[in-house]
Amino acid sequence: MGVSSRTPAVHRAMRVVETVAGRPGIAPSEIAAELGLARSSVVDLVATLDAESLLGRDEVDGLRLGDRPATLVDLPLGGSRLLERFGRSCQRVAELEGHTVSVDRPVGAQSVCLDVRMGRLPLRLTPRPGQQTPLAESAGGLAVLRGLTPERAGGRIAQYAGHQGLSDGDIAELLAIRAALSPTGVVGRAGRHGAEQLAAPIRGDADEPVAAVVLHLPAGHRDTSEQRRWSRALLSLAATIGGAGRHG
Amino acid sequence: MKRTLRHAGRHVNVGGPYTSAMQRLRNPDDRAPGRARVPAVGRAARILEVISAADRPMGLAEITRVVAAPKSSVMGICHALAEENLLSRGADGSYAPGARLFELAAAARSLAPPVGRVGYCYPSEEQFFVAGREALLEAAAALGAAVEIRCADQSVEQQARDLVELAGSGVDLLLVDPVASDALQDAIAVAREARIPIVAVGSTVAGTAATVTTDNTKAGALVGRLLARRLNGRGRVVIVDGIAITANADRIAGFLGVLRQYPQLQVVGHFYGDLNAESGQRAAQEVIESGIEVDGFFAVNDQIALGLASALGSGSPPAPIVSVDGVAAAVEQIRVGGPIIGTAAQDPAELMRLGFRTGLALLADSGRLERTAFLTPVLVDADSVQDYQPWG
Repeated sequence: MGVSSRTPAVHRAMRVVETVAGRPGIAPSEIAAELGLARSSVVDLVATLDAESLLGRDEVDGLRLGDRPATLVDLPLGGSRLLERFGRSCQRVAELEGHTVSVDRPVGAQSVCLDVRMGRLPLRLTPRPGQQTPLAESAGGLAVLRGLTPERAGGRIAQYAGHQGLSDGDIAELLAIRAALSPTGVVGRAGRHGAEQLAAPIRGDADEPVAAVVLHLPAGHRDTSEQRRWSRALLSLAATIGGAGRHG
Repeated sequence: MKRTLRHAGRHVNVGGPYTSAMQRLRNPDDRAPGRARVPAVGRAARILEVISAADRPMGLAEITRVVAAPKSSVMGICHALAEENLLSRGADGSYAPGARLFELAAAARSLAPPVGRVGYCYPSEEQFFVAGREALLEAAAALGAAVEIRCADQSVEQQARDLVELAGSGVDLLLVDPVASDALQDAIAVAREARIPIVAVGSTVAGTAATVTTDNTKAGALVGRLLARRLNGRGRVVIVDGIAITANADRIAGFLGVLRQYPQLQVVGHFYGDLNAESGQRAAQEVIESGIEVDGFFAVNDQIALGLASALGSGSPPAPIVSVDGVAAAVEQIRVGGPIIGTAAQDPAELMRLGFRTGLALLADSGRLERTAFLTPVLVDADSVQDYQPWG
């Protein structure tokens, strides 16, 4: 098991987490055998990972992936969490049944996919959690920025300027794209690989958009009446997530 | 009556998002035992929390200051986390959450319980419903789900309002034990429009997705046979009915089905109680005032039976009473020989657990099932090629 010499414990811990994620219920002795580690080391790692909720226990005390990663990237909404609400609210919108729907948010000049409910229609590009796309091509990221004031939107992008190597010109270009968007309704974008996206912003506790639900469509889905129906469904889903979150 | 009981699962992040995460990091007393066994891993978890909570890239100096750990340790851990793609390292050396963290988060969410909030509406605080309610609270708590309970105080209008309110509040699942089986259609329709699964518990309710109930027809038949044997197949029987739910109708149907086998047993009166002993006493008073001679009683539930027994028990000998439920007070009378001589026992706790499981199954079948499964690929490189068995 090749590991960096700087902090091998972190790499060993990740190998343990990956092993448990792939084989829920696996015993520490099996983990040790599979990874070529001493059982005592695995026991210590499991104990620490369990204490940190990076691993957890199921109803029969078997090891499973912990819920800490989910809480780290989720966004608080009222008394609950946005992505939890997304998972439960998605099924309530009949018009979106069978479609791929994601939750995206802008991070600088990129948009990151936070979670995906996969549908049945084939897409040229499969959205995956953690995947980043350029903000200019992301209906979800733009839907969030559109709902912010120009100053707030500029500030959100500029926060990542150093991290992403953005120039003032890059930021201005994105703000110009934002300014050209229709002020209300869903945001549509023809993404790369021919995929099409429709997005509606989800409002958070401060009544400011914090993320967006995005409908992913194969290329060529340009039937206007269907788009109107999907747009209403997306706006309804976004409102449900944002509003339902306040009920806790 | 309205109550909201919340049983938060482990590590639910409630209120005070980013700053509360930072505050926890500054309080060593918040750390659970066991975190120090592999200190670097514990520190890595805190670094991930700090950076996630900040919601912006963070430089090494800032991370070091917030985590309050040696800079060399923080640097090594951040480097390792970036190698694992749990963090991304930017052009300016700052760190932000990495793609792998989102992947693990999505995987963790797929393991999460399928239900967050359950709504439960029931007719009254009678023992039967209380037992069911407590069983639901326990079952929901085991999954970290919150339960919002509504007692209708025997008002069908109140129960309809409660159902609509709960459906509008976005509960994930509704369980209803009805005040009336066929008076809630409009309220049920609201929940169905919101695609919230609704399970009827105890009695059928028009429009629900599923029903979990005792075999009430069999319950009526069981006690009908008992009463018929006690009366040697002949005599005058009074039925004391209850609220307009299918459970009561089924019990009476089962009872009458047995009585048809005994032509010399006659039903000479059909009176009504509701859900409590007082209603049984009132029904007893009506029987007395009617002047009917009665040899035996069938009450649709134990509370009515207890009321009847209390009001009529001074007779010598008291007319035998049979009923349905199995509450302790009725069972005690059976033990001492009457007036209640038998009851068809239900199990309200198990009914509710079954109702809850049925609701979870409906949720699982409602589109939450992942229709696309992803297998994690394995990297074959110079380090791992020796151990890899190619398939082609």
